[in-house]
Amino acid sequence: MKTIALAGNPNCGKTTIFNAMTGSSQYIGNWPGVTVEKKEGRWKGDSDIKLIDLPGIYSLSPYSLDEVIARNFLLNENVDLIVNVVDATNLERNLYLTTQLLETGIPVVVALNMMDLVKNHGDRIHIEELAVQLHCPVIPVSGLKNEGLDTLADTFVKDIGRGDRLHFSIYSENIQKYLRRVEGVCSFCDAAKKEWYAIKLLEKDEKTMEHIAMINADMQQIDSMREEMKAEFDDDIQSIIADARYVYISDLVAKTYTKTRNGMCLSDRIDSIVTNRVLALPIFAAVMYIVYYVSVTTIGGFVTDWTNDVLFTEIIPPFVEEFLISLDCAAWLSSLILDGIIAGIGAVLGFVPQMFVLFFFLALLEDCGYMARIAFIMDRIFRKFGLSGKSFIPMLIGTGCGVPGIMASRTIENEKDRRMTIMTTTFIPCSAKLPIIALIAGALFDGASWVAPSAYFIGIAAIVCSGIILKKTRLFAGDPSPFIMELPAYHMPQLKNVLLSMWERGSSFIKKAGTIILLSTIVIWFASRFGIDDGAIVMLEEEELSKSFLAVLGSGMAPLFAPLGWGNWQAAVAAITGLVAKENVVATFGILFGFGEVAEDGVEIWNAMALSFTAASAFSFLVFNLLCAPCFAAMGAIRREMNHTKWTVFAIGYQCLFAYLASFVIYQFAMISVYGFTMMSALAVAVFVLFVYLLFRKPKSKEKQQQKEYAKA
Amino acid sequence: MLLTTAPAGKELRIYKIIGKDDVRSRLSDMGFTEGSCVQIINEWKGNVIVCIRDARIALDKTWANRIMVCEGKGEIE
Repeated sequence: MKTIALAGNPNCGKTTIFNAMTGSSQYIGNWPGVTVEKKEGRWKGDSDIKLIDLPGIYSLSPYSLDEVIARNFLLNENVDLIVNVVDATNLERNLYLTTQLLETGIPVVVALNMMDLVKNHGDRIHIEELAVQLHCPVIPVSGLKNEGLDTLADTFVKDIGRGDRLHFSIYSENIQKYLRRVEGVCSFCDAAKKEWYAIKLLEKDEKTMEHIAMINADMQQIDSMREEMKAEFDDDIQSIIADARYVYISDLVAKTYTKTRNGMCLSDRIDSIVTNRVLALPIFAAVMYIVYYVSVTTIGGFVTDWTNDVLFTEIIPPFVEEFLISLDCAAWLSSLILDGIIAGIGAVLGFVPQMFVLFFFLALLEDCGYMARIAFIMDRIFRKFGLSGKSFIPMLIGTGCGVPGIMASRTIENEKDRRMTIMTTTFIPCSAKLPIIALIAGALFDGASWVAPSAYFIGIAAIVCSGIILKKTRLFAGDPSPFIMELPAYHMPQLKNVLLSMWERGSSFIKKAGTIILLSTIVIWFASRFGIDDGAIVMLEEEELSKSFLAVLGSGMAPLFAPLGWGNWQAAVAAITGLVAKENVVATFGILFGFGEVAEDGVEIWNAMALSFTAASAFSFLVFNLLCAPCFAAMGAIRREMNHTKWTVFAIGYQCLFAYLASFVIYQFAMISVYGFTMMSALAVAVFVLFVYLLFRKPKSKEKQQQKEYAKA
Repeated sequence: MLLTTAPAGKELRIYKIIGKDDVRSRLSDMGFTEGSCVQIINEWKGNVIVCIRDARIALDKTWANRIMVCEGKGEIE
């Protein structure tokens, strides 16, 4: 088995090439940081060759978690060959990494991607000359148009076993003389890697030093060489080496790249409007409004209404019922199918169209390049409450699904910021929470148009408040990490990519409906239709639901939620099943309230719901389910990303507590107008005052910390 | 002058990068080295989008304040 790693700068098209070569359909987007973990696949041409798609890196000195993953893989695993994907439209900066990859001693093949764009600009790259200068094969390709990939494959098959690479150094003689001296001390590695280790030793690279066993005398010798070199160049080693690389690259680019274009390109002109200091925020607000308005209210809402009210009420259930009657099916089985599975799954699947429209728009935003600009625009605002603009991308992805949202936090360099982003990302309503919002809005607020936007507003407010409160605790104190991010050029969204990404996310939702939600609905149906009556387990009649196992369980939990206004067992059960998957909340109501007669129209469930909730308790129920611990899948993602039990427990505990208190305050405040000022109201006021205090108190540790930092400096 | 206060649209040249080693190496990985040319595409309260080595890079104030530039073209020697 041979291993080929795809490495390159962020957003240079590694995943596009990976997909084309392995036939997989990994997720692609036009912003840096789409791939945050390594992906494995087998090359289509020979299953004995393994291809690894790595997160993008600018250099082999990593700053964020995804970059660490890429570097560790390249340096510590046995990689037989590196395909260095280079964005040909940005040759100079991309070749910086190439010079480092060449030094690792692993055979490199350069895939010059996006050659079609270079040609469109009217520029020319002298590929043969580039290959001669770099001493490695250079293959022009276009991942998007599937051009040149066969030649690339031929080249790496030919090159994969060949270790006898011609050694060459990109450095000037002044620098080389030091490198050769350090190499003299490096007896622990083979010739091909000597220059790499020499540079790392001079740079005092900590990660490399950990792996090397060296005697003190040798170390001291290197230390003195380092000082000598610093004195000669009057700079630190990293800068000397970086400068030397760029000097070599500028020279190389001047020889091989013929440029025709000049001045501002279209992408810059778009940026001067979209990121303009006056227009940036209004444009962003308008874009977001259109996305949610269209996907929740107009197109999405229309199709969803039809699926809920017509398809899953008038068409499918009567048809299935007739069919079951014609089979002379047992009453319990037809109840399981009609009241359990169809009522539950139907309640969930009804929202699929809405979701697809939302995913379509999100994919559009990502593919055209606007996503990266949003991070830049939001940075100024997020900084005010202790997060950086990079935290916004996980949240935007989180509107689709919390799991990739939480994972997207890997591009954040600062550990504290990353933890805080992981904790707060799921406050944004994900697509699985949309059905809950729609159900509550429809059942209790007459479909009022303010309910859905208010859910997003609550999510954002929860993030903002959590940011401010948490930043003032000792755990998260300190300024958010500074923001630096490459902005990709805008391009027309590729319909294929957009549809693929929409399908990718949407189909996982449908898959979930077919597996975990199907299973849940069956369990919920059994638990709600069976119970203990007169000491025996029996199937219950329509009127006896309150004797069911589920009711017993729910009634046990209900007092906990009574202060929030929804102390009935159905709501308690729904909130609990929501922890498995948020879609279950709606599915549970579908089963519990859809009992008996097949509803004549979808409003049947709504009426039953309207009876057991008041406007205040329903809103409190909504808020609790929006903010509390996410589904199992997302909790698993939190655990993976925190990589620490204490932090996982803290994150989930914080979310639940925050949700509970927020719902409590909202419900009790609303109740003052009904019951007057009671003990509970006083408690709610106390909680609210505490919240305001935490929000506005002066961070205690800040001064101390500054003093510490000064002391250090 | 600092990159945060430099005029937009003009050809600028970096003459000094201030900061600790890790700051400088992060910047040089992204293409910011002493002697290289930058152009400010857009500025927003100290946060800037610049064009450097054919790439568009967004930087916040903290980063931009570490980059000293002067006006005038000039190739990297």
